[in-house]
Amino acid sequence: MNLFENIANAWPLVANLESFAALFAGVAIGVIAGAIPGMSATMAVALTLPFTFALQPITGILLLLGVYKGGIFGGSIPAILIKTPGTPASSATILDGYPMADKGQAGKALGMALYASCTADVISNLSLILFAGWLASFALSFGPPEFFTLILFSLSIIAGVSSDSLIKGLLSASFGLLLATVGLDLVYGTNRFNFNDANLMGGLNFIAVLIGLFALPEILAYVWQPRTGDGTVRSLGEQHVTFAEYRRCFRSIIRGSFIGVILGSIPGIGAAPAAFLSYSEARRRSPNKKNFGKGEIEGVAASEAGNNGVCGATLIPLLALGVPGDVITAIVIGAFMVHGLQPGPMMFVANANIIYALFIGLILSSVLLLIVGSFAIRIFRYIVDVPRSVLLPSVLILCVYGVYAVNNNVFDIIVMFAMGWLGYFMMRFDIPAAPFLIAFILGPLLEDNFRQAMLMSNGDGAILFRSWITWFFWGATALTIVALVRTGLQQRAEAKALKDQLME
Amino acid sequence: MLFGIMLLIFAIPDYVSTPSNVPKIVLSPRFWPDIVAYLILILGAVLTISRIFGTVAPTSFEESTSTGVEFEDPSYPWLRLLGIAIVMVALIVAIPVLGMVWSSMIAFIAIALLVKTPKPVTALIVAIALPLVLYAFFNHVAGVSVPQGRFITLP
Repeated sequence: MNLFENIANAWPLVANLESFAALFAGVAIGVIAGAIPGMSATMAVALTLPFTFALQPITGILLLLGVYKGGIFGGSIPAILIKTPGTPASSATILDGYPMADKGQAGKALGMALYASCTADVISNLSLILFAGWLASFALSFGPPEFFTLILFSLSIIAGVSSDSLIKGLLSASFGLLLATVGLDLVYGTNRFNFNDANLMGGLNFIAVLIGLFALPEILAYVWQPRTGDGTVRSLGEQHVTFAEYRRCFRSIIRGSFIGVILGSIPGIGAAPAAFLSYSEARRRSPNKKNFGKGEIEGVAASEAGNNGVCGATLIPLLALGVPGDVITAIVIGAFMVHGLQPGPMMFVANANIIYALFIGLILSSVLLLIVGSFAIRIFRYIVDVPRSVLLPSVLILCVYGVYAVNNNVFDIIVMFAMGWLGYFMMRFDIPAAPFLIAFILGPLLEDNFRQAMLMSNGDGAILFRSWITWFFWGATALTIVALVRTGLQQRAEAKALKDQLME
Repeated sequence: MLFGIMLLIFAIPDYVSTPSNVPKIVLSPRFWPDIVAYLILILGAVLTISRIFGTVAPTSFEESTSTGVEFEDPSYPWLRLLGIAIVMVALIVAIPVLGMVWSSMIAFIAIALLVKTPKPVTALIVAIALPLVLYAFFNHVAGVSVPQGRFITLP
């Protein structure tokens, strides 16, 4: 079937009130959650996941994707109005957004953030539609050795870019891999770290692990130091963004969108680096480069285009290869798995209608983002007034209900609490949680593909180098590690030089 | 590093069962945990060495908390952490006895008190309403059998 036939088949899945309402609710929840400092888009997606169990697969996944997209834009609202990014992806927006708010142009900055976000979102979604199918058809020729080397490459890049320290990232990923071995062995069915407890035979529930890792540490951090407020909310001002300003920033928006698409399609990079790269490129090429950092509207446009350009593109490796590119897509993969779907090249063959229904839903979400975003900007004052001392206990209760709902089992709540404490101490010691979670999800796939490859070759390791694809991924893995080690050594040398300077 | 050693000499031999008929070591259920344990051991060693000889100061637990933000109550953070740990344990114990709705209400109120909420009335309203709304959704919409406890049964 060609693209248009697939779209025609998928249309009835999306063109109904339930899917539309889910998408709208998702975008609204995401924008609100992203706008609340202390709630991240990741946390919002994780908390929404249990509510998707009762929905149809496509409706549930659209709800989550709506939250994701809304959350990334929502983060820009507090970044501009109170100089606190709602999500890490909005950090670059502060650089020019807040100075604009200082000048009484907050409404203009937010308007540009919204238009840039929606434009980037459309470009990112179109890239997903164009490239995911192509990549999936290519990946159909992958066997276990190719998938093993692909997952190894993904893990090494995620571990490397998730924190300042490659070692900490790799250590975090190793612990994730170790946790993934809990349960019955995949081939022989023997016990592995399950202490003869029936609850552990099937391994740890990954929804409990991810909610524990990404929602509870915020609550524990708040309990450690309850914060009063996040600063003064700037007024929107009377000025609004004009079409001429949008046209002036259009080049930066398009460039930022493609930067987002490229970085988003590489596992592990994420929205924040895309926003900063897009911002620095816009500054380098702009005729108004001197105004950057002082309230230049093009800076807001570039950073928002960069971070929203990532949203659709992160789904390329997820849908085409079954490899989540970041934590949010790792959560989205959970929604697929709960509904008995396994993202990857085979899904384009077996469930093409669901894939294309998602594509249509994603395009619709850009329009909804424009509507919901315009409204959210006006009511932000009320959103930011939600007291954290009420919000965070609410999050805990949501987590408890959500995790229990997965298997109707209190044991999952225990796992979630344990993971929450682990995530909290990891956060305190600067150990990134993302490699841990992604390794935990990809661990069984990695091991399974390795063992299948070994079974195919009767234990001969040469099978892992059998094709140019495996050589490509081995090379990419080696290159990634070398580049990250080199960067780490350079940073260390710079830190040493700075220290010596200070000593003198 | 110590954890890696502990895995290799104690946890894996004792808690990973291997059948006697495994034809190749690479197919053994122990192979993968062994690889991960060696990885943890090596990475732990590298991290320790870089901490000893490195130029970057180790992340101190206390240091990492001083972010310059104004805090409502900077006193006894460890006691508050202990408090929430107790709330979590109590919640797990209370769910089969009191039911999830009532346990959640009590846990919510306990946490709000722990952080000395400046909005006690709002907290109380949310503490009562949220578990009930979630119960209604999960029990009646999602078809999840939410634990009811031994004393009061909700419709």
